[in-house]
Amino acid sequence: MSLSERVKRLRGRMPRKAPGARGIEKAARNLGCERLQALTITGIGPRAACDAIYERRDAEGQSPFALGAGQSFERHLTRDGARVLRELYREAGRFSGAIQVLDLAERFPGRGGIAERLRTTEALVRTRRAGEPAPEILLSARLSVDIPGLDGSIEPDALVAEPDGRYRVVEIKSYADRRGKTDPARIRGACRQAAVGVHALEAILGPGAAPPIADLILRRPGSFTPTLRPMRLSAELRSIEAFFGEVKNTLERVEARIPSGASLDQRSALDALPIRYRESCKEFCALASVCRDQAEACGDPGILGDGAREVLAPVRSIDRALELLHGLGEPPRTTEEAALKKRLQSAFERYGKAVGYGV
Amino acid sequence: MGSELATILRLVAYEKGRAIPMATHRQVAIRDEALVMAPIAMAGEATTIHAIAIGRVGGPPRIRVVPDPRDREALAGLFAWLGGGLEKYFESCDGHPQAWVSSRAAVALLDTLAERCRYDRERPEVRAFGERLSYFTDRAPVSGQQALHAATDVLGRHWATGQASSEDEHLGSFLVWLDPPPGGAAGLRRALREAELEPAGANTRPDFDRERLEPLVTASNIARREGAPPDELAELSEAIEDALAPVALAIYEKTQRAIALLRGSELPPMPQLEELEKREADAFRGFQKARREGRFLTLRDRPKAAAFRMATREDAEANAEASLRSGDGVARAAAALSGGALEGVVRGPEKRRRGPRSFDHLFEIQSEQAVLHLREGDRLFKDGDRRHCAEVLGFERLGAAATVRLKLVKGQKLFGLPADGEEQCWLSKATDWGRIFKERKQYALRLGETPWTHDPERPRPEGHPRPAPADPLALIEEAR
Repeated sequence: MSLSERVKRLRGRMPRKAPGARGIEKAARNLGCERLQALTITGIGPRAACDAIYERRDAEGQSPFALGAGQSFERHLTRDGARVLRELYREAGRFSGAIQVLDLAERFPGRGGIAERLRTTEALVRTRRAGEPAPEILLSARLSVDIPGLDGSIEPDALVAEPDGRYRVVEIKSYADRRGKTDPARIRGACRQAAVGVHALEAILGPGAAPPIADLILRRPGSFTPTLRPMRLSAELRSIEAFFGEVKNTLERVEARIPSGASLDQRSALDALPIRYRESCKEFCALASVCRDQAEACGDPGILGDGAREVLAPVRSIDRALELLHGLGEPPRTTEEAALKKRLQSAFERYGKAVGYGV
Repeated sequence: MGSELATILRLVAYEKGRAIPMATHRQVAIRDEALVMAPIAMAGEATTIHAIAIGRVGGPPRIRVVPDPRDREALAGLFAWLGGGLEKYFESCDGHPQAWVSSRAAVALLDTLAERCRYDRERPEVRAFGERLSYFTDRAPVSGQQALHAATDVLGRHWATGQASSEDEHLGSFLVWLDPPPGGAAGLRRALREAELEPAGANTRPDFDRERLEPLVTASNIARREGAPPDELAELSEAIEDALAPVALAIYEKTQRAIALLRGSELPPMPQLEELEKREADAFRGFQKARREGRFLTLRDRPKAAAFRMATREDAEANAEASLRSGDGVARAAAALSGGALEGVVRGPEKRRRGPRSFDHLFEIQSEQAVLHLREGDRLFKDGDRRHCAEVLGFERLGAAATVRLKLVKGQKLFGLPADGEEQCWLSKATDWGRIFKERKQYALRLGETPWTHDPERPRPEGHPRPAPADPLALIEEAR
C-alpha cells in the first residue's frame, strides 16, 4: 500500500483536513506525543477528534472579533495594490525603487485556483532565484508541504524578496506590538508558522532556499499602523524539520500499535496511542483536557505540573508518592525511592512544624 | 519556593481534595478602601474595555458597558469616566492607592491600556486616565509592591492547590480548590470542569462571542450606521449590556471572594509588610509629585533612568525575598530545605579574648539539615536581621548532622553570645531597607555624566592592547 493509502485507511471515516502551517507547528511542539502526531499526519486533527471521537465539545476556536480584526488588518495592508504594505517596506529601507506586488488570489481566485497558485508560486520562486525579474512581494502564495496522503499546502501571509534572489516569509498578525512586552507566546507561534513556510520553500529549491528569518508584521496598539520586525528562526526551523523527519516513522509506529484493520476514528485506537501530557498542552491542543484526565487516571504526577513529574520521577505515580510520604504500602524498592521518601518526609515534617499541626 | 516543597504541597492538596495553606503569614496588604476591577477586553482588540465592573473591597460594583469598543468616541467616554473615578480615589486615599484584579491576564490588559491611553494626543481625559492607571501598572513588576494585586497570584502565595500552577491562573478553578463541593474526587472534578467554563480573566469565551455577543454588536452597529431612532439604538445597546454585565460581575465577585478568603484566613500579617507599605507610600508620593511637576512617564527609559529603575527592581526583589524568608514560616522552611537557611541548636558558645579590649564571639550551630549551601566566609543573618550577622568559619558533616562554626561580626554588643542549647535560624539574606538610597546616591554620582557607552558624542577610551603572545599554548602549559 502506498503511503497515501495507509494514511487514508488510518483516517477511517473522519473528514480529511490538512493541518496547515498552524496545525503543523502545533504538532511540532510535542513530537513525543504519538496521539498528536497521528492525528495531524492523518488529517484528522485534534479538534475534530475531541468533538467527534471523544465527544467533548471543546468550545474554543477563535472569537469572531479576533478573526475580524485579523482579516481587517490584512485587508488594510493588502488593498489598493498593497499600498500600506509597500510603504512599510519602503520606510524600513528594504526597497528603494518600485515595489511590484502580485496577489495570486486575484489572478487565480477561489478553491479552483489553488493548483495554479501552487504552480505559479514555485515558478516565481525559481525565476527570482535564477536572477530573473519577479515581483518583490507575493500575496496569497501557496507552497506545498510533504505530508503523504494529505496534499497539503500552506499559504504564508506574504513572501517578500531579498536582494540575493530568495524570498523571505512574512507573517501578518493583528496582535498589538508592544516591543519587549509583546505577548511572547504569540510571537513564538507566529515564528513557528513562518518556519513551516521556510521549510516548504526549502522543499522547492533545496536547503538554504529561504533565509532563516521571517518578517513579523504586527500592529501598533489601538491602531492599524503596521510594525515590522525580522525574527530569527533557527530553533523553530529545527523543530519543524524534526516533525517532517518523523512523519514516516510515526505512521509505522501507529500502525504497529493499533490492531490490524482498526482506524483512528475509533476511540479505542486513539486511546492505544501513547500521549505525552505536559502543562503546555492546553496552550495549543484541543485534546489537552482529555489527555489530562487520562493522565490522572494513570496516576501521572504530571497533572500536578511538569515540575512535579521531575521531582517524583523515581516513583512515576501519585499513589506511590503518597505511600512513600505516609510510610504506607511496600517499603522503598529502589535507592531512588528510599532517597525520595526521606526528602518527602523531611520536607513535609518541616512544613508541618511551620504551619503548626501534627503531621 | 523550592520545587520540591511546592510539589509535596500539591501532592498533599491533591490527596485531600482541597487547597492547603502555604504560608503562615499574610504576605500582601489589603487596604480597606482598595479598588476591585474586572475589565473585559474585546477579543483581538488589546487596547479596549468592552465592559468593566468596578467597586471597592467588600462593596458592590458599578458596571459600565460600551456597545462596541472599536468606536473610539464611546471608548474614550468610558476611559474618561474611569479616569474621573481614579482621580477621586487618588485624592482621598490614605498612604497609597491599591487595586485588585482577577489574574495576570487582567494585569496585562491594564498595562496595555495604560501605555496606550497616557499618550493619547487628542483627549486629555483619556491621557489622564492612562497616567493614573500607570501608577498601578508601573508598580506591578516591582517585587513587594502593594499597589496592584492579581487575585490568582496572591492566592497562589498563600495556598497550594492539587493541580498544576498554570491551572491556578484560572481564578474560578482556584476558588473551587479553596472551597470544594461535597462528593469526593468526582465532585471536585465536576466542579473544576464547570468553573473552567466560566471566564475569570479579561476576556469572554470565543463561543459566547460567536453565539451571543457578536450578533448583538453587529446589529447595534448596523442600526447606528443606518440612522435608526435613539430608542431602538438604546434597546440594542441594552441587549449588549445584558449579555456582558453578568460576565464582568462574575469576575468581580470572584475577585472579591479571593480577598475575603484571604482576610478570613486570619493569617497574621508578615512583619515586613509595614515597611513594604511605607515603600509603596513613598512611591506614590513620588508619582504624584512627578505629575504635579509635569514630568511625563516615558514609554522607553533613557539609559540613566533605566539604570535607576533596574537598581530599584533588583533591590526590591532582594528585600522581598529576604522579607519572605524571615517573615513567613513556610518560606523559611523552604529556605531551610534548599540550603538558604541554617536551622539548628547552639553549642559551645565562647567569648575568646583577642586583644586587650576586643573579643571574638564564637559559637557552633548543630543542624540536621540534609542540604546546606555554606562556604567559609559566608555571612548569615539571624532571622534575617541585618544587625545580627555571623561569619562562617568552617563546618563539618558527620552523617546526617552538620556542625557549623560561626563568629559574630555584627551585633556583638546588641545581642551578645547566644546561649547553649538555644534553637536558632540563620538566613543567608537580610532585608536592607536603606540600601537603595545609598545605591541611588552612588548611581547619581557615577552617572552624572552619561558614560561613553551610551553617548555617541563622547570619545571612546583608547584600548592599549598588549601584543599577542607568540605561543599562547606554551603559556597555558606553563600555567598548569
